[in-house]
Amino acid sequence: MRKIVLLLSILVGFTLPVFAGYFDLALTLGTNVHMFEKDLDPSRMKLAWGASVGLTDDWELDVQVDTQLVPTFFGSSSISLVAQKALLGQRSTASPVAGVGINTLVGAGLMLSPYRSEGTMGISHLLLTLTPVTVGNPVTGKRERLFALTLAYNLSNQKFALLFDLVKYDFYAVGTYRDYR
Amino acid sequence: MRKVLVTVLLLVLCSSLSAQTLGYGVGFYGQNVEAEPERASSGAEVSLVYKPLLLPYLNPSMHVKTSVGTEMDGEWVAPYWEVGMTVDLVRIINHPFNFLAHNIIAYTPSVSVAYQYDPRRDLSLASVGFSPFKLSQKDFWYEFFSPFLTYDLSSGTLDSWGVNLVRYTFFFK
Repeated sequence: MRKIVLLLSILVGFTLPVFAGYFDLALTLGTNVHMFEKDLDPSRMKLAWGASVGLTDDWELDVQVDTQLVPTFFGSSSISLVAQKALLGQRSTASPVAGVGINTLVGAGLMLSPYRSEGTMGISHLLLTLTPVTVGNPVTGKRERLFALTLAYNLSNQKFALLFDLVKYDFYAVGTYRDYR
Repeated sequence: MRKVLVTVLLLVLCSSLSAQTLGYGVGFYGQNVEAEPERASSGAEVSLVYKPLLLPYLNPSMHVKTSVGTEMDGEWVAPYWEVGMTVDLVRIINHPFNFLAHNIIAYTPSVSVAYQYDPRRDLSLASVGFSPFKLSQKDFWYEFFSPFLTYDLSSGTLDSWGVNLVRYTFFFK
């Protein structure tokens, strides 16, 4: 089993041009709302924060922490790990030539949270996410992600919930025009 | 008194002077009512802003706001109507938040005071707000993480607190 996982990992590593120089890193700030699961998560408003890691020219890994602000200020948090693909073109070219300025992201991942029947922290949801509009790209240094909708399947009670991120800002620290001068 | 205030405000807003200085805003608010946690709500806030001046210090503006959101039980409500005044404390160009925007943008942290009416409870409130991450351009205000407190005008006690996580205001010409 371990051998298969290792082989698959190597295959994925070679298939995706992870080592071809495509890499960028951004800090993320934004908004989040967790809907249709009020019995497990009574939050009304959440702060989204985390990081976006560029894996290839059109794949990225987003780590997003959603922290409750209302009704409990800095209450419970969840952590989402999502791999996303840009659908409308290269998000970065790893050169001074910027990637596509307006894009769409689609992805999948999982959420770690206490929003489970057991109430303990653990893998709680499988996620399918769509971000219809992103404006900006790593090379220009900033990107806005708008109206992201995520379908969340709760593994503990087999029910669906919905996550909505009105806006998220990515501030790139690595992989911007400053690195390609 | 309330009618006079509204009439004066409408006259000012409708005057030709406002052609260069009127804006509308949209934001994402969350509010928690201290004594009634089931009335905690979140949703969209819309506002009209009148900004007659452009001072480097203590720049005033007036606003009218309302909000639409859902409470804890999912019921749709309009938790507050508000009329008030905002003062941009300073206007700074060289500041540490330029990385937040694509262009050079002014940093204008502001404080606001307002009369707020909660139609759900027929309650008059005084609202105090602070916008520590407010960025201003000629035609836009961008505000992030702006907390506010409201006090019951009859008892003087804290009634609710909340946050406007983002608010965008566009000044049309």
